Parts: sequence; C-alpha cells; structure tokens
Amino acid sequence: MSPGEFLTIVLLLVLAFAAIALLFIRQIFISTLALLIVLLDLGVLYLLLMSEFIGVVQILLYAGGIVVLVLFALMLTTKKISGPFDIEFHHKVPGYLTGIGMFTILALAIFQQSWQPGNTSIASLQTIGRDLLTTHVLAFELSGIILLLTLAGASVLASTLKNNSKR
Amino acid sequence: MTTQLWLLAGALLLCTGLTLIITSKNTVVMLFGVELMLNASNLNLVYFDKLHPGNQGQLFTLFIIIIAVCETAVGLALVFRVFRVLQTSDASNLTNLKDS
Repeated sequence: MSPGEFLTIVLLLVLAFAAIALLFIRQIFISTLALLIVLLDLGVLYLLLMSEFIGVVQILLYAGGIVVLVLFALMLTTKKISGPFDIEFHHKVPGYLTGIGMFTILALAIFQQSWQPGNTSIASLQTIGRDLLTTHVLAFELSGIILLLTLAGASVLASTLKNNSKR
Repeated sequence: MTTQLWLLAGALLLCTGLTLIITSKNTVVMLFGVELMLNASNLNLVYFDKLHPGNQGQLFTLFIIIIAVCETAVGLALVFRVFRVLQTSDASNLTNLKDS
C-alpha cells in the first residue's frame, strides 16, 4: 500500500467518523467543529485527487466562509435558557431507519457495479480557467449574478430596519 | 477497491445529511445536513472527474459550491429573521403563518 493510499484511507475514515459524530453531538459549537473537520477533510481529499482548484475553493469558501457565517448565526440565535447551547433531537427511529436503509441500498448498488479503473486524467488549472471563460462563460457569469443577488437579498432579510420588523 | 471506498464515503455523507435533517430540531443544524448532502455530491463529482477525461466534474463542483454558499446565506438569514420574530430556532415551533 502506497503512502498516498494509506493517507486516503485515513482521511476517509476521519470523514466518516466526523460525519457520524454530527448525529450524536448535543452541543452546538462542538457540532460546528465536527462540520469544520468534515469540510477541511474534503478539501484535503480533493487535493489528493489532484483537483487543486476545487480543494482550495472548498477550504476558502466552506471552511473559511460558511463556518464563520454559521458561528455568527449560532451566537445570534441561541438562547441560554435551554441548557448551554444544546441541540435537541426528535424522530430518532424513523431518521436512523431512513439513513441506514438508504446507505444499505447505495452500498449494495456500489458493490454490485464493476468499476473500471479509469485513466486518471488530470485537468490542469489552466484548462479549468480557459473552460470557465470560453465554454462555460454563461454559467460562470450567471453564478456571479446569483451570488450578488443572494448576498444582497440575505442582508436585506437579516437587516434590523424598524419598519419591516414586526415584533 | 479504492473506487468503492470513495463512493461509500459519498454515500455515507449523503445518508448522514439526510438523517441529520430528519432528526435535528435546530434549524441551523438542519442546514448542516443540507451542506453534508451537497458535499457528498461534490465528492462523487470530483472523483468521477478523475476517472474520465476532461474537467466537467470540477466545473460542475465549482458551480455547486457557489449555489451552496447562496443557499447557506439565505438559509441563515431566514433563521435569523424567524428567531427575531418568534424567539426560537426550533423547527417544530414554526407552525404559524403570517397574521395567524
């Protein structure tokens, strides 16, 4: 087993452990840290798959942006009266049954299929940049517009203007 | 064998996200579940991008990440707004419509 494969398996195990731990952690900040572990781990896995661009975007946007946003939202929306930032769970039996059942079906489908080891093509950063600005330029520009509109709309939704907050 | 491991990790992320959405009461933690499910699709897309020539998978992953950022921003803004009006972030308490 090469060091790369060993590292991949270790990272996949950490990913699985952190994702399953999210289901059982009852304190919301520790839960956020478990989500951060999952997102950073995915970023490193993308780097191992030779997708440097996606790996860096994942670490910057998810681990840097979304987790900070989530932490802000948590601090603003959690009340201390129900214990120290506790998460409550409900519908446990149907939830776990759905999850385990769906995982079983997917695992059966994965193991029944015979996967061809592909040619492990490596797309360089240059071809990604060229494709973004030639073949996929419409989607690229539209995603920029969507991002702008969404962030403006989100800040309007969360704003504390007096006349549109009805208490 | 390694291919199955990668795909199993993606399937596990998807099922964990689904279970988290069903079992959690807190709306922010439900958003964690949505993030996990989106990341499961990203993992599969990047892996299949490695198996096939071209870079369609990585480009698609980039767009999914952008949409996920938009979704998180709007979702957290909604959570914040609902909390200001109803003083709760518990999804099972959100049973009122406007003016009711």
